[in-house]
Amino acid sequence: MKVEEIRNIGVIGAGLMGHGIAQVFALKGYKVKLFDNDSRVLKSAPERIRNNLQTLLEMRLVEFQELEDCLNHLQLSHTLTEMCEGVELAIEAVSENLDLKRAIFLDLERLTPPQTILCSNTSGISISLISEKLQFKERVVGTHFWNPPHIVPCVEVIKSQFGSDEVFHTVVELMKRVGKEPVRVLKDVPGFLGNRLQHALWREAISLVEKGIADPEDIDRVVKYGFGLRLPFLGPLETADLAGLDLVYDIHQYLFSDLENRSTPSSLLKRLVDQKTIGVKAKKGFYHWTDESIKQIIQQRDKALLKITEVIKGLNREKKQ
Amino acid sequence: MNITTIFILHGLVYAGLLFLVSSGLTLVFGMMNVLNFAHASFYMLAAYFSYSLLRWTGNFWLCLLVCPFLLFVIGALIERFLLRRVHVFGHLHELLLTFGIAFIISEVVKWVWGTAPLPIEIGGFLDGNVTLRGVIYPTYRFFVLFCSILIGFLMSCLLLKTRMGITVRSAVDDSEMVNALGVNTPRVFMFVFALGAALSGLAGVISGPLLSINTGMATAILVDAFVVIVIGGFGSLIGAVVASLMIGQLQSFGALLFPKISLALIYLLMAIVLIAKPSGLFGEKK
Repeated sequence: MKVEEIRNIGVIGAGLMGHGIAQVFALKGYKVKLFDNDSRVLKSAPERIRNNLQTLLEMRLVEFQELEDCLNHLQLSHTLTEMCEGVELAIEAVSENLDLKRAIFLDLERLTPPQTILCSNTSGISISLISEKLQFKERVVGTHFWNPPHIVPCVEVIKSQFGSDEVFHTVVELMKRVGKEPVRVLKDVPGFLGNRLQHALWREAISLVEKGIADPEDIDRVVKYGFGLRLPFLGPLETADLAGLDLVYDIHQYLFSDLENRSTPSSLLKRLVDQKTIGVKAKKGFYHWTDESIKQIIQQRDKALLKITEVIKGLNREKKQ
Repeated sequence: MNITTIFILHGLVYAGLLFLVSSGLTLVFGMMNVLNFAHASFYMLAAYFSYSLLRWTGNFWLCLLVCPFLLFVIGALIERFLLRRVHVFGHLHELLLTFGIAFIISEVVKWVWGTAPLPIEIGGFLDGNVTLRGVIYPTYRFFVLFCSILIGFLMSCLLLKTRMGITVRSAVDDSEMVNALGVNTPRVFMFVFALGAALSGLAGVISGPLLSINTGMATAILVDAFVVIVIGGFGSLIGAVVASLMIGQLQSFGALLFPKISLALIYLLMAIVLIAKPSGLFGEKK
């Protein structure tokens, strides 16, 4: 299937990720059929999308007409059969559970012709495992959107061990067409790219807390106000080149032996989980949280991310010129 | 070639599941003249029961036996203590009652098990694959097919070869006359209603590993089951078999050949049947 042939997109799951993914495609003029088993979640999706768009409207990132068109392109499906009718590509965005995803893909296989592209929005489950029991495995691709999917530009497109180059290429092209920044992940490894990098950082960060080297707050600050500041503009490998690889080599020679390299979750993390202090859900994790502080940070997050992405877009345009 | 075989198999498996749900629905309608809106809720309830029982015991075979039995009891109780009481007020009351039960079951399911879809992992040999004419197909799907054929066979034996079956068939045709001949028709009604619930329950347990368990599963199958009994003819078991096979294959080949109108094809078939033979393929004019 060529990318031009794709006009109708099905999205399975209208929760946190699903509704945002539906919005991404509907906003670019694709006809999107959204399905969720839970009719309450499904019915609330247009309202949640409208709220998302309202923020974009306030920041003048979309026109009012685009908001209306986006919602008009969205169609709610109450059964999977209904959703599958006439879609050229379907994206599954249900909760992270291998057996559940497998069951859904088996059902999708029954309801779609073999050329329909099937995508799974998973942040870590192997695409090869999800597709291994299917008859037509080559059309299954991983598309890992980052939360919130309608704001964060990156989508990791993952090729499974059975995946075809053609389908992989089509999905990458499609992501470009809807204004995303697709990243090609050529091998189906756990955590793909983003989560491997992210959790390598977290392993060290938690270890620093555990060893009493700094408070959680200061560790977050060194990222936010230090090297993290350049990350949206310069990736780690670009930075390494700028610093000089000989210098990087020297640093790694003395530093690596001291870095955290455990292959199990840290004992501090285990203790926190055992004590049920699991973060905002328990109002206590590395930090203390209140209802207001949680609400505030989530509200501010979307706007902050939008502002940052706009700045990066501008910078990248300048960089290319 | 392979593709055709695969889609025929897909269609057969779904037809099997559909038959298990619609056979009970059509029998109950034929006999009591009640379209049981709660029928697919029994299917969903049994699926959720099997989820809990499987987590507790880890034995899928046990779920296959216990859950339909539980639904048999629930069905019998609903008929005896709810449906029978409103029978005197006419069909509208009965219809509303089954509607209400469907809502209650749906909310109870959400309340007890939550709204997130639940996976079922059966393990064992059913989890493997079978190679047939160069096509590798999941063993479990053949098992679904086998179960529905077995149940279809047992049901036809029951209805055609036993005294009980003769009574049920007569009650479907003319329940007043059967009652006048000295048969305890209310008890027959209760038995058939409970049996229908149990079959629907069996279908629910079987569907768990096939389609995953979720709060929308009742609605999804109910629509197709209604279409089956309309096409097959109300009250006709053979009609349910034929119509299930037609819907299964139509859905499969609709998805394969006409993906843009796959859903419409089923309703088109229903419309054609209704125009040509308003009582359904095997239904009798009343």
